[in-house]
Amino acid sequence: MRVRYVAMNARDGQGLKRPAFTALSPAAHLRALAVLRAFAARLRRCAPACATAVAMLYTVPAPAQIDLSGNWATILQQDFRLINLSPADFLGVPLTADARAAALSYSEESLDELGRQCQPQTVLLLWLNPFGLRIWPTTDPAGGEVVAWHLTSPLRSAGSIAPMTIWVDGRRAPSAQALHTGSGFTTGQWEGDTLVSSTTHIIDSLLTINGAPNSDQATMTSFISRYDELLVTSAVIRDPVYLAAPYAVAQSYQLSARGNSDTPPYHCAPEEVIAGVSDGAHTMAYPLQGNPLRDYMRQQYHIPPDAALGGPQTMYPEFRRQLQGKYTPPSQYCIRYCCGAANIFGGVGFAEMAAYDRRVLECTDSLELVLN
Amino acid sequence: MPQRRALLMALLAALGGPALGATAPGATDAPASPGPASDGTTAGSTAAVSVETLRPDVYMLTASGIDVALETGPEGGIVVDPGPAQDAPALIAAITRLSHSPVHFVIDTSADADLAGGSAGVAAAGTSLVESGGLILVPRGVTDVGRFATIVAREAVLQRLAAQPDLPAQALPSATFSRSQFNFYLNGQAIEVIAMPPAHSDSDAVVLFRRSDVVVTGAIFDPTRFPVIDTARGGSVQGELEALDRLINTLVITPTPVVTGEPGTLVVPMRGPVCQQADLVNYRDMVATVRMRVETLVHAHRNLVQIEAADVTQGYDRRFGALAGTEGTRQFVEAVYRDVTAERRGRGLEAEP
Repeated sequence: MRVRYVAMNARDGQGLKRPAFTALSPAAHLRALAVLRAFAARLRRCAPACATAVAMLYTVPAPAQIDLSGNWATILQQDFRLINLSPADFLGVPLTADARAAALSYSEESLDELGRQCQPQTVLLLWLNPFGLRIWPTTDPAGGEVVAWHLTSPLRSAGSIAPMTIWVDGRRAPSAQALHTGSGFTTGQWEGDTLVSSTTHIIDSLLTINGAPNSDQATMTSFISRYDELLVTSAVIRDPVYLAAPYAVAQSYQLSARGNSDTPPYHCAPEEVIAGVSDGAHTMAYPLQGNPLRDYMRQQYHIPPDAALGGPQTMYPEFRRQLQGKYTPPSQYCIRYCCGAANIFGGVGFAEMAAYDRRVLECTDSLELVLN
Repeated sequence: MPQRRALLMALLAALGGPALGATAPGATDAPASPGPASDGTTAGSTAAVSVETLRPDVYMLTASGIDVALETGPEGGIVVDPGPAQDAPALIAAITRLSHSPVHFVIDTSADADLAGGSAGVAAAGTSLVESGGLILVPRGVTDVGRFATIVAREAVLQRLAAQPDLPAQALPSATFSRSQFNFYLNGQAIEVIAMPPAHSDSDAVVLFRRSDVVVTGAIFDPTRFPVIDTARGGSVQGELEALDRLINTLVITPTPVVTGEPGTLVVPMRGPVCQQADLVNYRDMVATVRMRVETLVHAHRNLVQIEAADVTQGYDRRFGALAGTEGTRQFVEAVYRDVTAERRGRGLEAEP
């Protein structure tokens, strides 16, 4: 089974409202770090006796490795919509004009190409996947220190995401000439209780599954913090080719005792679907100005094109305020728990996702609401 | 390191004299370079050589931005597309650090100076496996058999290079082929030099190291920029698409049906990082999409000026046009336009408005 992205997925009915960061966003991470640094500076300025007293009162542990192991179910309340996207919906994505042109040229029919049918998505989508995370370490057999953290989406079928390995043993990144892959190359270090990692060497692929591209120069800085049974992640994606500004995403996960199910290896056998796709005679892309779904967001949700087509300005609350007075929501739309992912993945994907987050089963199919 | 390099240069000079290529950076007695650089630029001066290990005994060396493939083993070395002439000394030094075995074969996938310019220098630093009774395997005009590595190329490459009066004999390919493929076996693996459809030019070839599962694409695939279609030397956009499809469908394999995340066949492009099938697919789609856009506009009776004004490369300009530059992008669009109109003429349609 391959992913069919053309399904008309439901939005969450929040109009232009950006998903709220209920946990630490990248900006919050930075603010927290700034507070810690300021606190450390005060300690340094304090007299030795004072410092000793303060240190006795506020004993801060040395940077320690928190155990991230486990199966983590996605809490579908943050940037879920960034994988559950409608056609030509790039709201909040700081695309360059070139990226927008590429995105509007993209057709999901390209997934029928022999060379694309079995390609996993890149790690740029790891934090946005609705299927949760499985995390485990590799340890040094001599001392038991963690050498690397491995993160993967438990989904092992079409639409799967390349796994990520975060090396925390201080190794250097490979040269710029090294192979670029879906997983990229990631190194990390602990800053307090947050694992901060940097990913490079990512292959040209999709930043969003509805066609916004990423180049092989894209990088991602990720922040992972664990609070007991809650895992909070955020990431900043930069791409000098296709992004006009750093692009922040966030996702939270809950430890899941149900998530340790057996997942078979990903088997995929490409097949000839459309004659001519693989002989250079055809390309599965829309011609210039020829995307029939370009205006989908306006027709379906009354979102104006300059908002739906993204750009750095669409990331900020000011932009939302600009449109607030002009925006009229459609008469029927989904309020919450919209099952867009079910529309995307259907069948097996939906069942697997439901196994990790039961609330998905309670969703209301907004597609019917909108179309009825 | 500089002393070692100087020593090597002196040794090479003593062995081969001027025929060895640039005996020192900037030397003026290097063999004249083969044809023009494939991107129309002047190759840079001798640069540091970076080394990427692809498989055991197979490396990608990069000098002045050009990727060079090296296979080493007890039976000798094979170098594919040695790059510009002025980088040959640095390349030879890097090869010497990686292997003690002499280079026996140099393979030129093109007649371009930025790919084949260093062939004479690298070949002169190697030796031929056939020292007697196999004169076809030593460079034409060279009587000191065994002193030079064999240069393998398509017959068309030889013709292009031989047409250059100032090119020394030792720069010419010594083992040429006009059939579809030239095969040999060294270090326990088959090496296939495969003639490709006329893409960059009419003499394109790719090299497959069969056991190592590494393919060297030459000028057909340069993921750092739009393809350079040398229409004056028989290149065509349709040939580029066919060559890329052939690479994707028959030579470069990705792991299926068990999707492991491993890259499968590794690809050494003309420039840029090591690649895999997905990179070729992206590149093919880019070329095919631009061609489709141009074709649509030609059907709508737009001329070349109008098509250039329509920015048919939008979406790819920053990814593939930054290094190609405005002129490189324009040349690509023009090549596509010529290709489309020629194809229409072939079908008896009106080629231009």
